Amino acid sequence: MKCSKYILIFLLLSACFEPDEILPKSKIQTTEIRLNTTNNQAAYLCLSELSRSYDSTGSNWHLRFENDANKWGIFLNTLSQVAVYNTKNTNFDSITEYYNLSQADWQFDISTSEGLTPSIGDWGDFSFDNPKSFKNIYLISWPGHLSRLVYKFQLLDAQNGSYHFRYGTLDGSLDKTIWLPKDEQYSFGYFSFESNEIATEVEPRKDRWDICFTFLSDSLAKHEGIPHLPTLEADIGLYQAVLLNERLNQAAIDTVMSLEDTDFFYAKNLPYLEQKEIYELFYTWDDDLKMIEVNPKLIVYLTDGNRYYAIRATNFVQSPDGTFTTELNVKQL
Amino acid sequence: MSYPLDCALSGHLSRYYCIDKKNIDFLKRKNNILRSLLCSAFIAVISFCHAQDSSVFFRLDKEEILIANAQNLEEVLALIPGLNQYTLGLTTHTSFSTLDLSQIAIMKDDYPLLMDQNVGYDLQSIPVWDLEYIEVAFSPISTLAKNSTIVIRLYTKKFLDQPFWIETSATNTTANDLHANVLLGLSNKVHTLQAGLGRSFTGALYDSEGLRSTAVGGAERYDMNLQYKYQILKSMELNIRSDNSRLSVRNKGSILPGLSRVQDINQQVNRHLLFGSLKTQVSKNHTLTLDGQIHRLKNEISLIDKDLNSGISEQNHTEQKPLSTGFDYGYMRLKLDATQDQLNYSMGIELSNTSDNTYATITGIRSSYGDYTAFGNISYQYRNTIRLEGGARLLNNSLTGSYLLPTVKLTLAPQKELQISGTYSQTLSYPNFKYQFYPTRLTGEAINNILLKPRVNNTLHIKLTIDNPLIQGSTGILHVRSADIPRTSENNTYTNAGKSTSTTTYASLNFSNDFITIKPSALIHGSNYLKDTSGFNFFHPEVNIFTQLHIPNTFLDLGFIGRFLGKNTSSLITDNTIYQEEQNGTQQLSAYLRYKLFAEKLHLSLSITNIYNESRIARDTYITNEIDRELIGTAQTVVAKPITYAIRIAYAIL
Repeated sequence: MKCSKYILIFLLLSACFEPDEILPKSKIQTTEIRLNTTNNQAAYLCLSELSRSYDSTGSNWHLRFENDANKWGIFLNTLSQVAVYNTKNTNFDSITEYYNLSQADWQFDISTSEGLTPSIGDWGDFSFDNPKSFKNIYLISWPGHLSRLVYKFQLLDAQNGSYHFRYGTLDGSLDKTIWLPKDEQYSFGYFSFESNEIATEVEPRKDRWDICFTFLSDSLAKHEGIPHLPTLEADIGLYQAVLLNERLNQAAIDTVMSLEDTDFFYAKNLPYLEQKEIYELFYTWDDDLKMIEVNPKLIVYLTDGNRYYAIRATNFVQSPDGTFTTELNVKQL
Repeated sequence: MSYPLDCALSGHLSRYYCIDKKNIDFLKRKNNILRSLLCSAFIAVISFCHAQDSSVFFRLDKEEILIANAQNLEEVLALIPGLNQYTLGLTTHTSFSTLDLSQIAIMKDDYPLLMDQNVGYDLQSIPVWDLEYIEVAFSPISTLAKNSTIVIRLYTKKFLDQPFWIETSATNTTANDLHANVLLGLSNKVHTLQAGLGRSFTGALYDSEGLRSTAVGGAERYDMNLQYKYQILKSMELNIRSDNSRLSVRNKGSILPGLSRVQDINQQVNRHLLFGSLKTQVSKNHTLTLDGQIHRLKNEISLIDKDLNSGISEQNHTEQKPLSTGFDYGYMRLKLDATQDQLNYSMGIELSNTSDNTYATITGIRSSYGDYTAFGNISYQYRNTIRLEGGARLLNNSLTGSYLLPTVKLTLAPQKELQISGTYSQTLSYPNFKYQFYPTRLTGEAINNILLKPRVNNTLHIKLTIDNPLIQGSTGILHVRSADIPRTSENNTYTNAGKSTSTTTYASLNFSNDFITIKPSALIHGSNYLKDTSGFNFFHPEVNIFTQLHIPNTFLDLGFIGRFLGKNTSSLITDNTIYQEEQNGTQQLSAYLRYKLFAEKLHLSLSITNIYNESRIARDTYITNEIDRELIGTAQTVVAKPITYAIRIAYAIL
């Protein structure tokens, strides 16, 4: 009888669920981001594979066009100081070299509560499947070798997922019409007036980056004391900023938990907000030393609901040739 | 080996031989050939009509369950000829041609085991250690209005009139599974009690060697089954049965690349069934039975985030996980049976109610429905050569109205060893509960429709049976035409738009003597899943063989089960696009060896399952157009566990 008791206990307790093995902690990885105002205006980073960074070498562009199916925004290259003025005139030939440019009130893209807002604004009626353009003539200006160059630019229409526009010099020596197709693999399509062609190698495919370090224009009043790059407008400056890919755009900022100690369970309980861009993310202005320095306690958390990343900046260096180098720690949670 | 059914059959046959001898003398005297034939037919009808229910297609005995080392109802259904089973993701799909498990009634000791079959059941939660045998019947004449096109009947051990008896067994496998149970009985002839306890642990099946992720999660189940009989008077008895099981399944997720984090899905099923039956003889030929049942099911699914470095785990409350469900079921039946020489009949009423105990009300609507059925069946036998059975069930559903469901069966016995029967019946299958009640935000699927009507199955079953003392054979055709199958409409709402047909042709033999039993069977299914929209007909064959062998003058038994299934194709329609799913064929073979000791009280068994080691097979998905089809994906489905050796020790004090 005693024996049967032991057999019974053995049967009840043996063959159970296997315990989980213990795995090492996930590592903190380090990478460097380099930005340059002239030849590398944006650096794209894939957080799951830091070796897959992408530098935007094709920076000689003036306009970028949204590629999403229902979006038709046209943005300026503010880092190249591209500006726009809406003449409200719809006759392309009537805008000539005699047009009074001194009356032009040049505009830049600027950050609003809804994110970076294109200064070209609503160029047509978007209630149609294929937007109907108002056909206003815009003047596009950017710095040339000796003086600023000015082109005229008219959105003709948009059909079958393509932008159709006409542009040319004011003296009529150049008059071209272009179809710029939307490619939804990329966030934007880019166009250069200098090379008269669609610019490539500006950004990687959407599925190959998570976060983009770049410069964005904004009002000086919003960033008091922070150094900025100048624009044509005295009260608008260019600041370092990050753009978030829409596939990983839930962001939270925390200064309580260190990167070494943070984990998935801490991260998933933080309050997240959907963001497109964040200005001056990792930096603070040291008033005593009069210099920018990184805040190593500030951790940015990014998630899409499944993947969680914590990012910290550990060092920031500005070299005389205009290169800004930021050292980052990235921890996947 | 002999079974109760075989005993009944051999009893009738010996009577046949006795009468036949007298008739031969009579014929010699009269030399009347015609009368000899009539006499033979008369004897045959006695033998066949009373020997067994001719709707029974297949019987699976306890020994055969042991050969395949099946430990739960899901594993047992994988053995039954005609049924096709595979596991993909967290769900196991079992079907008979175009009928899935939600349209096949499962009864235990002749009472419903699985509510209305439309709430989704995890059959792993149902133990089989208390079963003696299982029968599969095609289109039987029954009082059931729902899902009775095919009925799977489970039968437990009969009450024994012994003061005390006990049976216990333990099975251990090379897959680290362990199954142990004990069944005991007490009786003083007035009160009889049977109680069973069981624990079953089934190890996980991993996606691949060395990976953490599981294709089929590990499962642990505890069971407590009780049966009690009170013989109140000689003509009145009370039966109470309670089945209780608690099943925990742990589906492990893969380790996220570069991390120590995983996401697991745990499932906990709690199932409680309480059944009572009061039966009394109201006259010499009439029996009145009052049955009642309450059944509660909880299937809780939780998503668990785990860090395998810190050991921290937390429940993830996101909605991106399978839905937890729970249902309460109430059932009551009052039945009067009359048994006379030629005319038998039964009539009564049946009430049932199904309600959701997890989402009791959704957007102000109570997720519950009920029905009542009035039924009547009559059977008339003319001169023992013809038997006519028929009846009707009038079902009223609280949501969708009334349905009159007729059934009729004609049995002829033209020769002494030949019986032909034809059955027509109409039955209902309720749509999946979530199609009626769960909104898109819960299911992520189409918009629910509370007025979704039941699916109607019209069945024609023709069967030819040949029987002699040594061998029994049957062949037949089962044709099922279904209408009002739920489909998604253009506005993404479930509607009763679908139709399907299936025709199954089968042939089976049962050769049995004192030493050997061989049961081969072959089936060909012809199926059209989308009769309303396309002409795609698919055929898939299968061959099954069940063999048991007793070696004379030893205490040794051998057994083999083989199932050889051909390629199986089905079609479905979603968003006006027709898809085909094609599952490759598979072959499953199991064998066992049993040795009996100590006056057959102790049994030692060694079994090997899935000898061909076919565990996973490809399931291809095609998108189809009018002339061609294009492969769009392949999934690996699990059809069996890998090759496993098991040892079983069983001891009985009777």
